Amino acid sequence: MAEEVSSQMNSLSISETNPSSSATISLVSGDDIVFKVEPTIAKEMETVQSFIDETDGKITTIPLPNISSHDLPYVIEYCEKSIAGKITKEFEAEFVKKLNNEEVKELFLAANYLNIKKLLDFLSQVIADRIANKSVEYVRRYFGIENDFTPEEEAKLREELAWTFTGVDPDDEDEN
Amino acid sequence: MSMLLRKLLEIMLRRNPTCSDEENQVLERGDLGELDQLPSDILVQILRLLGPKEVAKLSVICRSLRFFVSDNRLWLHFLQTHQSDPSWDSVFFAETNLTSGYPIPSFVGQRPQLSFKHIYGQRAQVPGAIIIDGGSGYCKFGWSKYACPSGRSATFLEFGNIESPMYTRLRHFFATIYNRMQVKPNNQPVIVSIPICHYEDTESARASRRQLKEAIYASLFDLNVPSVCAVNQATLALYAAKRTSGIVVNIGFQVTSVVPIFNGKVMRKIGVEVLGFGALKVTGFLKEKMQLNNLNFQSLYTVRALKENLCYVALDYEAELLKKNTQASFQAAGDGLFTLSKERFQTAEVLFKPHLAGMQEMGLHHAIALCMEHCHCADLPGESDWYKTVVLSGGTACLPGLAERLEKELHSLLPPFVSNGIRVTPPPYGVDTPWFGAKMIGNLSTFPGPWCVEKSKFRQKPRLSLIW
Repeated sequence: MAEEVSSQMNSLSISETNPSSSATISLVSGDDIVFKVEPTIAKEMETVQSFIDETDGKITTIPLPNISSHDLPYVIEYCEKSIAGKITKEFEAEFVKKLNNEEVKELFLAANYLNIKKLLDFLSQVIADRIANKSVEYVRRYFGIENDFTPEEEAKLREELAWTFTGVDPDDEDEN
Repeated sequence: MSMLLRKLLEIMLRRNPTCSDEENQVLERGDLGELDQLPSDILVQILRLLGPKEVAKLSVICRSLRFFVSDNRLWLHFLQTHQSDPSWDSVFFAETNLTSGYPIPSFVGQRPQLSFKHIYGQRAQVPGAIIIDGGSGYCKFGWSKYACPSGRSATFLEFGNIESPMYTRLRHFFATIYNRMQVKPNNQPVIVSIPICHYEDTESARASRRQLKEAIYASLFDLNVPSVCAVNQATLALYAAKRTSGIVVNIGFQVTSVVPIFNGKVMRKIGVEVLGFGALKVTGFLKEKMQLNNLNFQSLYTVRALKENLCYVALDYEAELLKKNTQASFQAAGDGLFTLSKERFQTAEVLFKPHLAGMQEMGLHHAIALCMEHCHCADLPGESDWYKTVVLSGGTACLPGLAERLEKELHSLLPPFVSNGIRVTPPPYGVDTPWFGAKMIGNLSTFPGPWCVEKSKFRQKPRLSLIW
């Protein structure tokens, strides 16, 4: 117990005094592009931060093989706004406007991998909004799920769930 | 991640540990398309955001997703957030105890496992019911999907005694209510409360009850109501308190009844105690007090408003009399400001000491104690403490302090083996308590099925084997 506490104190004092902690962190995307970010940004990404903590701040270049150089800037942008406390409904609306369905899903997986709670919550809502009121076929295409019901089974299910099939939007084919 | 886990933990508390293993297995089977890459807690988060209707629809996507979205905890969450009207506890109580109608099955040992998804779907589709709770003083009516009754009318003043089996009067009463609600009677089932009267366990009282029920059914069916559910008013109050067994004390307009109910059935064999005073007498007593003290008022409505707003029940009457400062004031609409002092607690004391108002009746606490002794002696199978739950009902029963005082009096009147564990509950939904009991029935996932008598059935079998 005492050991744990002292090691915590230790790490605290390191992060305060160690000059390397104020140095930038390099995030390397899956396609080998390097993004330099402030350590505060890295703090938002739980996965990255725990990597830094584990090596006592000595390693500042972190490979993120699951995230492409296309998605990483979005993640960084969101984290920057989050630290600055500037996440507003307007910003989120603008942010999501730039993303197509494919990008939302990729970002979502990236947020999951990096474990960024706020971004995950936000994107969960975006995904929920994008599949709400959509047809079953649309949702299947959206997630790439194959229908494994027989036509009879599906018809029966639809009948049982008739109360849910009100107000379904027509599918727009030009998504993605 | 820890945050997400914590969030999930909230709902996991009630979960069965084996359940999560199954879930993960299904996800690992890998037929959820891109969703396979997500941990199930994150998928659950998206589902929660989507809401019940969208999630139910996802059952049609594929087998694995259907299994995943049928998760009981998820639907428990939806029931709690979307259908917990008037409260989640009451929905849970109703779905556990009342789904199969009357008589209420008595569970021995394990209760059947509820499928919350199924319950949610059924509840979303039930047509709801028109609820008419004809209290002896006031009638409360409204649609079961509304948060509270949409209207009231003074039953006795307007319609006379609706407890007598007079077809024309009942028909006029129901027709007027439908008119005020501006709904057609033929659209929805109706739940009506049967007044607490003809309570004896005798042939003639049974005949009177039957006549009254017959008149209620006949007048409603003649108005083209598709199906009728008639439940005793005391039983409805008990359901509102989330109980199927207990003693209901209903302070009515003119009489007060102490009704033992076991598994939803009024135990007339044990005996319903009836006292010949009620809300009217209490108000009348305050009126006399005010007249004695030269407090002038214009109408009895003022007195009633004062009773409702200023009066309370003293826990210790003698001690309260010695208190110096018991004054409080109330602005009665159109009748000025009134200040009462000792009248505030002397008024309701008449419930305990009827002789104060010159009545030769036993006090309310004596009547309840008597009923409890009878219940104890009846020694019904199953739960032995069922009669220790006392639920109050009726406008006057809402007076602050009544439940506490009754509890205290019962403890001093009864031997410990009867009085231990007694709990007196104030009317759970105030003056509308029976209406809310009916609302719980009207929104059940199985309603109207087991609860209602249909018009065609009533016509086929006029000899009432269907009516209980």
